[in-house]
Amino acid sequence: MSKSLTNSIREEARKILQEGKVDFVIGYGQGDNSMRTQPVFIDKVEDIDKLVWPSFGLINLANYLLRYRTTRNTPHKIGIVAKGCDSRSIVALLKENQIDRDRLFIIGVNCPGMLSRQVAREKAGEIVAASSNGDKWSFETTEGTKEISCFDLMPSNCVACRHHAPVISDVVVGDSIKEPDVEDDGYDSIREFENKPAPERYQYLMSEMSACIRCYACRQACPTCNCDECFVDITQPKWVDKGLEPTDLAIWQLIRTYHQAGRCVDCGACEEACPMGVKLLWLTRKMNLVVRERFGFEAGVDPEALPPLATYKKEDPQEFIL
Amino acid sequence: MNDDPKILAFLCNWCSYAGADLAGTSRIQYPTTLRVLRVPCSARVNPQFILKALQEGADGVLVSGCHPGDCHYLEGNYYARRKFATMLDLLEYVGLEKGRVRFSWVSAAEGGKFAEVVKEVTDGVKQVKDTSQFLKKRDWPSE
Repeated sequence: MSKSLTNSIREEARKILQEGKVDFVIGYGQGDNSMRTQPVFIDKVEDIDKLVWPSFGLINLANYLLRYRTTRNTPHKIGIVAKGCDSRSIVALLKENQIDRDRLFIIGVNCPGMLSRQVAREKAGEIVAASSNGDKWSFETTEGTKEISCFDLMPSNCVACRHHAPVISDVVVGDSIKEPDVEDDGYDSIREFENKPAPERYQYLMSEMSACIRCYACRQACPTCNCDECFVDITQPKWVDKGLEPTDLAIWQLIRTYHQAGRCVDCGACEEACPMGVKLLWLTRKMNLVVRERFGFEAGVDPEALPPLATYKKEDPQEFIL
Repeated sequence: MNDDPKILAFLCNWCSYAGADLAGTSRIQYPTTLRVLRVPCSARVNPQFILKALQEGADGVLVSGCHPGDCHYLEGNYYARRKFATMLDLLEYVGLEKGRVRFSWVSAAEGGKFAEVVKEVTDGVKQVKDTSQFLKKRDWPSE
């Protein structure tokens, strides 16, 4: 938990609440242990101390704006704390006319990157208690105490992040962060996977998805998974059967990924939310790479650009068509 | 190797379906592997159709529409092209064998081309080693 970021967020939130610019502020709050973060909705200045800047904050707050989406006609003016990826999600939602910009006050945060519980669990094992000391975390596990540096706890999407600064905001807090070298675009792991033989890749898909229990936590954590009725819940026609048949599991996640084409901002909330530790970013990041290479589009970066599947160019590549 | 593949073909009503018709009335020979499903436009084909077809036992899927610029609905096939490009890239990324999912543009005047496309797609599907990818495992016999 960064003290200085926490203080500046509280200060900005207090200001806009007192001035009556917003009815409430959506921000990060401390969860029930040091590795948990929960969203908080602050509508009174007395509660302002519940706002924090978390260490393990891989949730996308833009998700909670959907409760106040345009079609619901809610009157609220909303303040929201947004790190780089959250702000890109807000842009994506604005583009799809899900929320109104003039009812939003965005407290942008220059985000230094979050830590992941999934990564901690992978590296440390079954964690009983955790505490931080400076740039290290020490975990008490069932097999003894382990110390891991913060950098090693970052998820792959934060390590590869190119948008630490918020894309849109009304006020920005935190020191600006130097974006990493553009030469390395952060998709090397995807290209490495592409080079494996096809049967091995199919095997990997099936083995990853076999752990899925269809709890849909990934869908609920995602701000761009916001259909009124998800294709997986529709029974007429029944796109995907209920149950844990392997191809159903794979197709459910493939179609979810496909629906994210040009909308996913790589916030990593889906993978962090998965109770079974299924790797999901290797799919969504591939989708992002495809959209970038084919259509030169990156989700939520340019508020003016049309979503890639809602437009076309006459000269789009068609090398795959007979 | 699969000598008698089943290929599900989504043909657009205005071009490819008429092209298939022309191939028939012109008495052009082509493989009998296709099961044709007529759709109003190639953009009607939701990429979920393709996965559903593979799951239900199709060895291959062909989607065919009007040439760019010739769409009956003016721009349907341009949108379809973007959808299919992203979906195909994703499917090949997760290891779907090449040749199982194909796309083509066939106009109403191209009966000959339609026959060529069917031949090529059929040959492609015959080369596929493992058609059990994405095939749904049922614990009862299929009808």
